[in-house]
Amino acid sequence: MHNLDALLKIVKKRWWLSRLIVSTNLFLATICVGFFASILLNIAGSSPLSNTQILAVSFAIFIGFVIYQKFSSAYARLSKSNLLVHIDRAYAETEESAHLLFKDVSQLSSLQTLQQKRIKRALHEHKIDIQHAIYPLYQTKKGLWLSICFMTISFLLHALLSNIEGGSSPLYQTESNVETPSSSKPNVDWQIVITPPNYTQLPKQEINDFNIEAAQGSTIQWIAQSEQHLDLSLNISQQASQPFKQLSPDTYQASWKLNAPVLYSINNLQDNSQNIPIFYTINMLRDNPPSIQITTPLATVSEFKRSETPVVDAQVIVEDDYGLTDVLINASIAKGSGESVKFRDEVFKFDSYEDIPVDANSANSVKRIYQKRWDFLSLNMEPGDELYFTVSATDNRADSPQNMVSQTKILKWLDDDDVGISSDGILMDFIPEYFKSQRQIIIETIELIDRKSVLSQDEFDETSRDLAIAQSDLKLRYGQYLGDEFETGVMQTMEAGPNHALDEHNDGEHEHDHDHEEETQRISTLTPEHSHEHSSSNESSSLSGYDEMIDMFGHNHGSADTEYVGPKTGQLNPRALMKLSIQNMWQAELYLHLSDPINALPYEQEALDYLNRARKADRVYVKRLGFKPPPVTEDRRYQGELNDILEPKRQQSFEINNTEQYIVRQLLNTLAQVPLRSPLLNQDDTLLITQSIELLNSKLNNLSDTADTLSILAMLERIRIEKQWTINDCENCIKNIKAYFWQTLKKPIAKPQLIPKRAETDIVENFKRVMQQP
Amino acid sequence: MNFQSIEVQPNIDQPMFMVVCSLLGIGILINLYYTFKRLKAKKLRLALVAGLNLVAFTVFLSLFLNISYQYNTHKALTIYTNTSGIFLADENIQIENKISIAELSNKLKHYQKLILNGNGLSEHQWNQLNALLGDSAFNNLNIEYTNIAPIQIGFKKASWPRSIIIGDSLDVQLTLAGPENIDEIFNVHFFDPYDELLDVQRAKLGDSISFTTVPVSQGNWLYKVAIYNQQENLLVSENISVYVSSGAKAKVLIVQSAPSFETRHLHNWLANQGSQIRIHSQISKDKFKQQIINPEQALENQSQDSLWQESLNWAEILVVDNRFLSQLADNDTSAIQAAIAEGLGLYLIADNKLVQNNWSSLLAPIENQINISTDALNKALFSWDKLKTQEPIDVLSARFESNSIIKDENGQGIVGMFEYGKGKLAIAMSQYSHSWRLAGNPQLHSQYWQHILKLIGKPRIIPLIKWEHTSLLDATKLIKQICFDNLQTEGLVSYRSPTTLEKFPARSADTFFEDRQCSLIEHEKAGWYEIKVSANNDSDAKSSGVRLYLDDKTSWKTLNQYKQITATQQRLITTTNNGQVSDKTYLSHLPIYLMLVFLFIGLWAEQRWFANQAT
Repeated sequence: MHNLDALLKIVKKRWWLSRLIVSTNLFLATICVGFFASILLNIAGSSPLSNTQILAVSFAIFIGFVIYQKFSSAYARLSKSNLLVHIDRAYAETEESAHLLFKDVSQLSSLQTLQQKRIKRALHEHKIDIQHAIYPLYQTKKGLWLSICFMTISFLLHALLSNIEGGSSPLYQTESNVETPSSSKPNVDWQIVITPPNYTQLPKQEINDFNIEAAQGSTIQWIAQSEQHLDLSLNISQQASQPFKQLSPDTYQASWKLNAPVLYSINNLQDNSQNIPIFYTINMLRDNPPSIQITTPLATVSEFKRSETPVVDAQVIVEDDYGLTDVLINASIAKGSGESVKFRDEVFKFDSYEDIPVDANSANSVKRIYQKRWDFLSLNMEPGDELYFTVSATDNRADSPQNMVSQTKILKWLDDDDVGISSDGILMDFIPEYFKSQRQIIIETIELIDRKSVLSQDEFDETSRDLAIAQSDLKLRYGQYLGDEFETGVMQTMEAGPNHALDEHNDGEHEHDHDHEEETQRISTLTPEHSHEHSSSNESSSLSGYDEMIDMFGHNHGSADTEYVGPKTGQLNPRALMKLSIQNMWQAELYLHLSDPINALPYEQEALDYLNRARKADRVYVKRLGFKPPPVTEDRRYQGELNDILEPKRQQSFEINNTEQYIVRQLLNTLAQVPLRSPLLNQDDTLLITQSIELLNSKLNNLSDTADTLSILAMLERIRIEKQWTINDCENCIKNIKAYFWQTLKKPIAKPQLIPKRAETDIVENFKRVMQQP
Repeated sequence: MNFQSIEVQPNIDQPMFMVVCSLLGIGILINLYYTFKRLKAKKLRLALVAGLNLVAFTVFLSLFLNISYQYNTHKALTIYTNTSGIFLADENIQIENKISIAELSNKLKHYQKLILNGNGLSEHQWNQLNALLGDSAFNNLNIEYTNIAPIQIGFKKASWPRSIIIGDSLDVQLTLAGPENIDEIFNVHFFDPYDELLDVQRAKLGDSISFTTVPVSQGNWLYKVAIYNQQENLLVSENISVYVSSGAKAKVLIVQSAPSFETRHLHNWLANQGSQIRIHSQISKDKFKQQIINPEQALENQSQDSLWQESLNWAEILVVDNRFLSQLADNDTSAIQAAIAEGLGLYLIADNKLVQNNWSSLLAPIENQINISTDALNKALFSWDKLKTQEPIDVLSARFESNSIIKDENGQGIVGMFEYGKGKLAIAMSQYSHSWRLAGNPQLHSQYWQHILKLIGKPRIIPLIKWEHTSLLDATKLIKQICFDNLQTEGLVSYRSPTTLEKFPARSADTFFEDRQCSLIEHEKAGWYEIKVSANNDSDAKSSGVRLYLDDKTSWKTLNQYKQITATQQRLITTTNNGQVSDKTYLSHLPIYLMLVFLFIGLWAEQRWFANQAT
């Protein structure tokens, strides 16, 4: 007897099995689809789907499908009655009486028993075993084969995915290899050791920062420690790459001697996926030659009267980055005069020296005051003799010591026959000897600016005021030369200062202190229209003072005096140029009185420029005498027999000048377009970047401060390597590059400009057209 | 809303109207009788049906009437405008809701008068209001503009060239403005694109100042002007945008009776900029030396005559000396005349012969315009635009009394320019501009020739952009009109911003000029835009080579404020303000028809329902 319950259980089991196979196939199919989608995403340049994402989705589908089957109608139909109906339909031998097969004979009537026997006999004759003959509709074998196919496809897709550049199989991706490999991979410990040259006495440094700043001549060692085998190379710009040496199984090293500021990168040769190296900078701190400053005597020429017994205590400040070796005095003593002068050269040492404390930032630098007493008698000098000396200092640089020589100082022991005291500098005929020339004022202003750090504030102010007085004296003297009256001792002409409201030289460093107000009041009485930065109350008083002076002197400066171009000669009017010079002297004097020689200097230089132009304009040119051929008239022109003259035709092409300025302008123009164009570099862009990099490399050695240049160089290298203008982790790169190069540009050469046609040019035609319209 | 009156008039003849009324009255009475008869036992239903019948009668009658109502004409709509937008306000200028121009126009349909306070409306907003209200209603609108907003400290006028050529100077003209009661001196700073101070000027409110600089590189740059008070506090900062392009490659033809330094340095400068030059120098009575520099294509095996004519057609500028011009044959002179009349620019280097009025026949058409005085020095300082040279150079002892483009220190003309058909002719009294180059100032030499070429060069048929003004569109957006000359097609203009590509059709402007098309750009964000022009679609869009910086609403506030005030004040002048427009509003018949249908259906349904019930 067949057991219907047991049979139903079997059917259900087999049904579930088939559904599980379907679910598994669905699961595998989803994984295949996920792989395929990852491949497509990789090709499109997007990030592929991860292992977790695909598995999660597949598993969700699997579970979902299984749950669905549980509650599906197909499962609900698996009941005893349906099973019996199914058996009746499947096997005709049952004669629609399958239910009889599962009942006990004792429960059946005779007719049913008879039917049961009949059915059994039929089933037996046809060798049908219902229990084993009932299968689910879905063939298990087919399902298994399908599963194998899906698994094969998924493996193939995975292999394809891992071969695509930049991609890695999400299925086999683990935490350890998710990151992009780089030279500084995890498990690599880096150490950078900087060994400065011995003579600098700088300590050895060990740092972790790849951007290095070190003294010139330092040896830099890069040490990598890793348990994994590394194949690293050190790439220094414009030099051949250098492989790291393996010192021990886990230690690798490369070294380089610093003689120029450079960029460098470290590449891991094992890792092919690292296409964009990171550039680091090595900034070199140059060993500068010693600086020499002779503080006593200050003047270039010092004179001593015959009656004096000259003893001069010379004092010199010598400073160097790291140390000094020799500091000597090279002296020449001149005896006699004229053709009988004799020179005696000697080398002296200083009597003593004293160390001066230096800034904390430059702890290794050396600064000393050297002293030397010059006793003319002990030098066997006599009145009329002169001593010339320079100071020579040599630093302690190991391989090539640097030597610096100071300016020459002259000590004169005068004879009684010399009359007066002459000053150095260029003498002009109409300048009395006690006036400093404009050039001398400029030289001394520059010296004052340089010595600002060593002078006290009082000394600085006093020196500046002395220069102001000298400038004022010179200005008055030139004004006198121009014919201004001095009866009242008051300068009555002009000259309003130059018409600057606030000059570009004055960038907010202008000090308005009490002295300034007093001084401006004094100055403004002399120059009524001078200097807008003074308060308006001063202007009103100065205006009234100016009127008074005009009334007092009744002097009328006619237009002839103020014409820039001379009315008769067409040349520049020297008087006008002198007046312009004096205008600038006023401004220079003002700033010198305010102890601001930096702002005074440009005015002094401009005053000198106008003086020179006035001198030049004042020259009289005489026509050269000699043979003056008659002018060629048109009828005589080209009359000769010139049959041999050819008519040359020439074609030539000029290349646009690839100068530094041109390259920089092209780069700036291209950078300005970056937000509005494709970020990728084309061929022209790459060439431009390369030229810019070469330009910067050529400038590196000549710069004292290379930090900015190196950082710009690094940015350009990255742009070149990444082949796109926008660098991922540098938002301000373009802006910084533009700012850097903008400062280097000079005033440009103007280019031809042709204007487009305007609609207004056809106004007449337009008018006619409109009038003709209906 | 205040109803002033309701007017009811029949829309048919009065006798006819009486007939209709009578017939309807009889009909309603009969209807009421039968209704009473039918429903006398049910008072409530009787009342309801009777009421509905009466309403239907009234509604039916109203089809024959014109019903109009009128609002109080003296009620005014008050609005307040500022940089944030347009706001409704009450009579005491208490601000209420923010509204748009469309909402304002709807409201104005019920008002006769508009009272404006604050900045007023921008020109574009007035045009929008005009379009929405219609010309008639708009022109009859009574506008009152009171309580003009105080002017913020800033610039009420600002002008500078948006696009220049490298080497050209950027001249910025500004006028300060602010509240009237402030009498302070301000410092106006001018910065380069990297915040380096270039110049400082002091000015009071109402003063005009100008800054000049020469940008050092091509590209699009943002200079800045900033107003500081005496305490050096920053009050206002604005961008001065300029696009510096690399200039054109000119086509220059030089024809000379003998080689000269002037032309040599000229063609050296042009050649270094990539321009094309053809030089014909006479080296013998009838022989010429030809030089072709930077040719586009090889010109070989051409005869002298064909090269000459072809060169005249090719060139944009012709440089010639007077001696050569004087000896030209008539047909050659005619050829040059024709070329100049078609737009070719001529630069004629004068000599003493020309000064003595011994002119070539080429100058005959313009000889009335040429006035030369010979009482002048043979050296001069040159000046043009804002440039002045420092050293005098040699010139002929003659000057132009008028038509000068380059002047000496006394304001007399060294180079005169004359109109000649479509072209221009310049006569120069000096051939020593190269001395600046020799003196180590090639920039000055290049600026001189850039100025000359700009003035006399043959105009090119390339898109020219005319910058029109910017107007406030709404609280957040600005609208700018840009016109193009020489587009030659009904072009589509697209403006590429850093993030989007917006397209605006360039349409023919409703103006006098046939070759001009204008386009309106709406924008919110500030930034650089690139202008491209195409026929129809993106694929053939070509860059016009011009970049444009568009400000946002927060920039140039004082300037925009002034524009709004000026636009509103001008609008006050143009509107008629007579207040005579009819303000009656007629009730539409459509709702009456609908109501009638509804009533008839209701009455019919009531009868049928109860009829069925009865049966």
